[in-house]
Amino acid sequence: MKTFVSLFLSSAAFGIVIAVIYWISSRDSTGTLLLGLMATGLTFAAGYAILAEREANLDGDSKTVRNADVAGEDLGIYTSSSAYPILMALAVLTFLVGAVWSPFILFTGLLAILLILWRLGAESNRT
Amino acid sequence: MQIFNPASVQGATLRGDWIVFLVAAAIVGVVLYALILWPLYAWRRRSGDEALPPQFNKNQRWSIVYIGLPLLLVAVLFYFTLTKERSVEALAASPYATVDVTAYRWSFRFTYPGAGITVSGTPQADPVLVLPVGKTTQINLYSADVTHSMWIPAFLFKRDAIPGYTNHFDFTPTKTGEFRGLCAQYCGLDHTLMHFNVRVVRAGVYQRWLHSHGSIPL
Amino acid sequence: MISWLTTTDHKRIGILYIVWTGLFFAIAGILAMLIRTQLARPDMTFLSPHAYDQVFTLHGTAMIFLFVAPFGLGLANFLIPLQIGAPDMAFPRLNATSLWLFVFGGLTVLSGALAAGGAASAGWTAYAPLSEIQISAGAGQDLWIVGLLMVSVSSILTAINIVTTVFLLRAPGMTMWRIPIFSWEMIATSLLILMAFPPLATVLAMLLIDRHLGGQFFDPQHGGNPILYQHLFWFFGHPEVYVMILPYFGVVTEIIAVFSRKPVFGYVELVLSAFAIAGLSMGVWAHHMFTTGAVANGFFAGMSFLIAVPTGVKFFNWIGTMWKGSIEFATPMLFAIGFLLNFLIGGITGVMVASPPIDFHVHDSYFLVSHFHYVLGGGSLFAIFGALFFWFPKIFGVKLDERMGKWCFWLMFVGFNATFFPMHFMGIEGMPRRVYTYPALGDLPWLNMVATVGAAIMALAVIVFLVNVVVSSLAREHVGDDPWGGYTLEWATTSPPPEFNFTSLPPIRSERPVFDLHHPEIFEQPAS
Repeated sequence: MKTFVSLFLSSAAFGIVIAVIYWISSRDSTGTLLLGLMATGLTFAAGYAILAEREANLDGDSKTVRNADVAGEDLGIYTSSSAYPILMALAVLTFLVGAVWSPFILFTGLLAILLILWRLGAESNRT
Repeated sequence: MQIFNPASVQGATLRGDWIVFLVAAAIVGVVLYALILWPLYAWRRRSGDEALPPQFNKNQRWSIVYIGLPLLLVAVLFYFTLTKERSVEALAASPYATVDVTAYRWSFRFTYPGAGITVSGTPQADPVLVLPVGKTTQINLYSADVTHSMWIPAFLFKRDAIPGYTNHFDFTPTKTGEFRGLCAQYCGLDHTLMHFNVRVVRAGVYQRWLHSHGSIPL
Repeated sequence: MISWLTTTDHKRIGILYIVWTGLFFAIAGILAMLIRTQLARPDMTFLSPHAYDQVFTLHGTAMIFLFVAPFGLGLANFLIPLQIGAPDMAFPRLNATSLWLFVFGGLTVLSGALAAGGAASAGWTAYAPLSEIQISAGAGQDLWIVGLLMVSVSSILTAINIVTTVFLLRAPGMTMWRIPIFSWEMIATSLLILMAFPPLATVLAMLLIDRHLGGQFFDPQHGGNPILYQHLFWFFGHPEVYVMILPYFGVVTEIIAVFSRKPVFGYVELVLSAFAIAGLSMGVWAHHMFTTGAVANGFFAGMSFLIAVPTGVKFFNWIGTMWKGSIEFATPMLFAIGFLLNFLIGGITGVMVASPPIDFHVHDSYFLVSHFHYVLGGGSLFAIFGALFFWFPKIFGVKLDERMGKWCFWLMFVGFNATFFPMHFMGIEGMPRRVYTYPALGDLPWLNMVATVGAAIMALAVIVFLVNVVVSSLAREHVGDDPWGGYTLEWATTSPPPEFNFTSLPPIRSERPVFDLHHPEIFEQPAS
């Protein structure tokens, strides 16, 4: 987690530095805003990771842990199949096609997306 | 090659940049090619050779070299880039001539303010841009519809024509003659046919042509 | 069959990515052959202007959005959990969703060819005002936008998945500084996707709003600005080209190390340079706009020159890996070497066009076409073939034929250079890009003919590859866990791996756990 935080924070810091240099050399608001918003987003990600870091005690981060000592540990639940991904992709396609051509199709797509999200939530809770 | 025979003062400056970079490119290319190809010859695996070669994985002294030298090279290239660009984009305080160029789908219109001359082209009939040799003409570049670009290869230069935005730049031709011009920003169906001709003439001829409102043949 | 539609197994998803990107590559390749046929001689009428405009638009769009970039993501999907010793990606269903968004997005883009006005024809960059509704009125352009919005979402979701997986699901002992270089490059790629794709989705949405919802973002007659489009597009567009190369830097690193029998030289430098490239790449976007006269050329030239330095560092790392090694010229290694030789040329011309005075002449000319094909074709494409030959046995359990592999490489290397090297000179001589013909002036006619013949040779190379796949699959020469003498964890399990990947793991004490396992004399294994 430490690496994640340093990566995102240093990227954010770099973004700010570049944004400042860019503003000074160009006075262009578009590029400066893009760089600044990018740095903000990266900072959010780093901030979240700092908060989450308190709980992370990963075997993967230990240089000396022995396989035998941690064998049999629970690695979490991984699905092996689900119909929702392909259905979700179709729902998103419907939504976007509707955005261009027909409000009716757009709402159908939106409904499908929400329905799938609801069922996905249920599927996650069951496992 | 085109880049070695530019027909304008600005083009000669741009050629200088080309030469700097071609020399740098040749040196870097030869050195890197040699470094890549040499191991393939010197350390190719001979049949039956199962031994592990020395398993080194870093070298701090070389790191300093291959980070430092490129940084130095890049700084030099940056210096040439900045100085040459500044020189090429400089605008004369009072140019000898001015032409308003408007790009549109799919040709160019050349207007000589003050002389009452407007020349418009079509995809089938290329318009002619007349410039005086040895004198500086300022071009004001506009677009009537989408983004186009005005490229004169003999001057090693192009600039975009963007709707809602004006570009200003100077040409100081050094040779008389006829040169190709073309649109270099994809603008739709007849982009391919969007050409013009540049006719560079002596200053006296240019003046007579202007005073005749473009009626005397060149 | 249905199980392939509902699978959430990262290995199957990886295979589906490879198959679908392969299909899109074949389509984009056929489009390229159409272009080269039309341009074989001056004034040919093989393709009408409108047909030609659709062909080059879809060629660029498909190669970039539907092949080079997603192949890397698909390869990452297959490899990352294996390389870090995890049972699957962190979010398997999200992973599958990414895949299907990509597939349907790609099909939507291409479906424009069936629309009344034809497919999108404003180039893969779709500059406004050209792409606005008044000028590009057909449904094809809208389908292009919709399809790419789906591909954008797909990529963003995959990036989230990759970052989460690598940071959270590493096996015991697999510290961040022991993960394979490919996995590090994928983290950098994912970071770039997270920073670059939202602006793309934004500019696509803005274009859609302009086209259908009364927006005027890019229309100067109503207060809009075409240059705004370029800023937003290239803020995405430049990082996108690094999304298309970083995975392949990872691929060639793995291949070169294994076939030189040496450890990766400069592991730390390779990691740091990946992030230097990623960071700098967010600050160079307007080097695509040098000729607009509307951007700070000096800033962007400087940043663009700087990016050459970490890229150069990687080259020296790869050379150092081969140095004093024991080099075997297996097909994957041939493609990796081809990558080095080709990408070098593309990198050199890249530094050249990073200088505005040079770009003033060759921007939007065939010199530029040559530059980006050298890095994407000579670079990424060669690495893709290298990756296919290297990991095919792991993915499918069968090795590809070596002799056909060598034929494929040499045809591809000769064909590629014959196609694209002449283009440097075409551009310098004044041939612009995106034109359906050119004047019979100077060297243009014979240069173009050479390029067309080269393209035919490349097509032959691809055919040899496909024949190889079929023949090798039928021959069923089954391989064990580790046919090449690999270093990283994917070579510690069966070919193909079982569901959830590993029945047991070797101890992980360096970035080469499988090498360590097979060479205990080099590395003292702790009792475990």
